[in-house]
Amino acid sequence: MSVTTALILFLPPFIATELIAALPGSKSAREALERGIRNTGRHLVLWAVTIGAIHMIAKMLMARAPLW
Amino acid sequence: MPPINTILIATWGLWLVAAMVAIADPRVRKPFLLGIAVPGLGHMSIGEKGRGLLVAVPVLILYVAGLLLSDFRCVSPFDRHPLWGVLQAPAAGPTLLSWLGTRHLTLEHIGETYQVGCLYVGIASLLNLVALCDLRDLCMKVARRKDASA
Repeated sequence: MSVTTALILFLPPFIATELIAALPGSKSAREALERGIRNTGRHLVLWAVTIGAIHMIAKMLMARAPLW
Repeated sequence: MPPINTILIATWGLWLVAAMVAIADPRVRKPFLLGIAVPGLGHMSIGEKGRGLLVAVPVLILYVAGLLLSDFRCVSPFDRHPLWGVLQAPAAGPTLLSWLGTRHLTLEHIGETYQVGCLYVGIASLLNLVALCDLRDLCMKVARRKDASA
């Protein structure tokens, strides 16, 4: 399975989880939907930044002292 | 480490006790049972149509996508996948329906997306558990409002 396929397969459960996790604490369905969409975007950016940072650090470390 | 059967029995027991506690309250019973049978229907039954749709659409899409990815073989709580079966219990309606519809199928080979399908169905069912918790809170709120106005 390619990395692109894996990333695409990762998205539906991620979005569904964000939408339903926004339900408790929301006064209406509209508020829950808005919160869910906002959180999806926010957390996707957080994920991308975290994974990107880990990837860059790993590349830097590998360039200095290859592990394999 | 405890044997797998002990874990299975303990988790099924936990689900049963949680369900019994939830349906012991008559104010929650009907919506809760409807929510277990069809994700989102419990919310709709108390007049929360928007919330019901917000539960039903993602849960059912994820559930069906999981079935498709696993070639309709990932729901088998007493045969192929007892451990996944425990996770699939909170969406009892779709799980029962899928199990009855696919119990004659056999697992000849495991495809590339098989495990992803199992994970999708497991996540969809656990998301229904979150929705059921939200439903219980809503039912209690409605009941409190009724008590206050009476």
